[in-house]
Amino acid sequence: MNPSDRSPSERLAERLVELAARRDTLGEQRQRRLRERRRELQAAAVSPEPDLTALAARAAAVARQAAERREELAGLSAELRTAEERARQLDAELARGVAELRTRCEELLAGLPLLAEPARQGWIAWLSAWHQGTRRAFEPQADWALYYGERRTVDAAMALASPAVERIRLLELGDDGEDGPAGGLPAWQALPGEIARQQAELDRSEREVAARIAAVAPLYGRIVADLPDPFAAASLHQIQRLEGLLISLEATLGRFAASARMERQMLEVLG
Amino acid sequence: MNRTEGRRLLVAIHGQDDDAARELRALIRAWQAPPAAPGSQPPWQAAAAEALAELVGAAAAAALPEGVGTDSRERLAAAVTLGGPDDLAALSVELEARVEALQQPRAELALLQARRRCLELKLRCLDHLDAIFRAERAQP
Repeated sequence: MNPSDRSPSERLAERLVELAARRDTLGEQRQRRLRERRRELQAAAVSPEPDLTALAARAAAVARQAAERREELAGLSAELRTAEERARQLDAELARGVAELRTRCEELLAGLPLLAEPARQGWIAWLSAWHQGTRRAFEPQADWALYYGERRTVDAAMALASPAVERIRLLELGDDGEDGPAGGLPAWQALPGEIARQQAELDRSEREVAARIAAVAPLYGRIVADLPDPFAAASLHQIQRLEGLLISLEATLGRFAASARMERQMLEVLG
Repeated sequence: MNRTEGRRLLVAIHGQDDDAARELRALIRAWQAPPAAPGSQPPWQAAAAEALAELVGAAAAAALPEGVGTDSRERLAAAVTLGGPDDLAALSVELEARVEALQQPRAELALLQARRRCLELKLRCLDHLDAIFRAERAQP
């Protein structure tokens, strides 16, 4: 039938069927695209499947490299051990060589002259003077040590060294006498501390004496003012003389005090 | 070079390395060389001086009491062998000056101690005076 033969209502119905079919097709296409898109998204959300073969190949390559490096390292370690051993041997050889050289130096040292030139000239001059002073001829001798031993030359020469020996002994060891403190250098070095301590004690005693004198001066009169003053003396000798006076005065006053005490006790007994 | 100077050089070389070996070889070369001719003195005089210095050095070392340190011993030995009589005299003067400098505080200390003893005696005198005056006052 010719379409123009169909009625408008038939054409409309036909058109509606076409449209419905078209709508269904489009719906299916849309659903399909959605499903595909969902799958793509899901696939993207999970990690991709690893390429195990490639990984295994890579691992094998790395293992090969590691084995090569290990081998190389082992070779180097062996070389290092050898080098170290050689170095130890060389060190020992060097130490032996240095020890031998040192021994040789000691041998040669013993053959060097004892005296430096100024000392040699000085001792020769001294020997000349000593021989002249003792009216002896200064002439070659077969055994100088024996010659000196028989003539007490060393004793005379020691007069030059003895002052230095004595000062060294005093400085390092000290003595118990006037010259230096027993104990030598440490004792010398302790002196400033001891001086400070003694000065503090002296200041304390001075304050104590001043306070005592101030308290009794109005009662006892001149006698306290006349007590010797150690600060009036400047030299140690003067102070020691003053100390002697005070010792004597103290003994006298002590006797008076004892006698006064005894008198007082007797009066108490009698009274 | 003499023995004292040589000993100093030898002692100054430490260790067992190449440097030490090189320095020791240099010393050996120097010490093996024929010694410089002594001054104008005949050799027997030099021998006389050597023998005397050896004996004086030994006597001086023996005269130092036990307890004296190595430095002082070496100093004295060096004075005998390096400078001779002049050096010994200079060393004595130097040591004397040191002793005097150290004795200065010692004199000061003696002064302080004597002054302190005097003050203690004064205090005892005051004690006795107290006793005497108390007894006087107690008399009827």
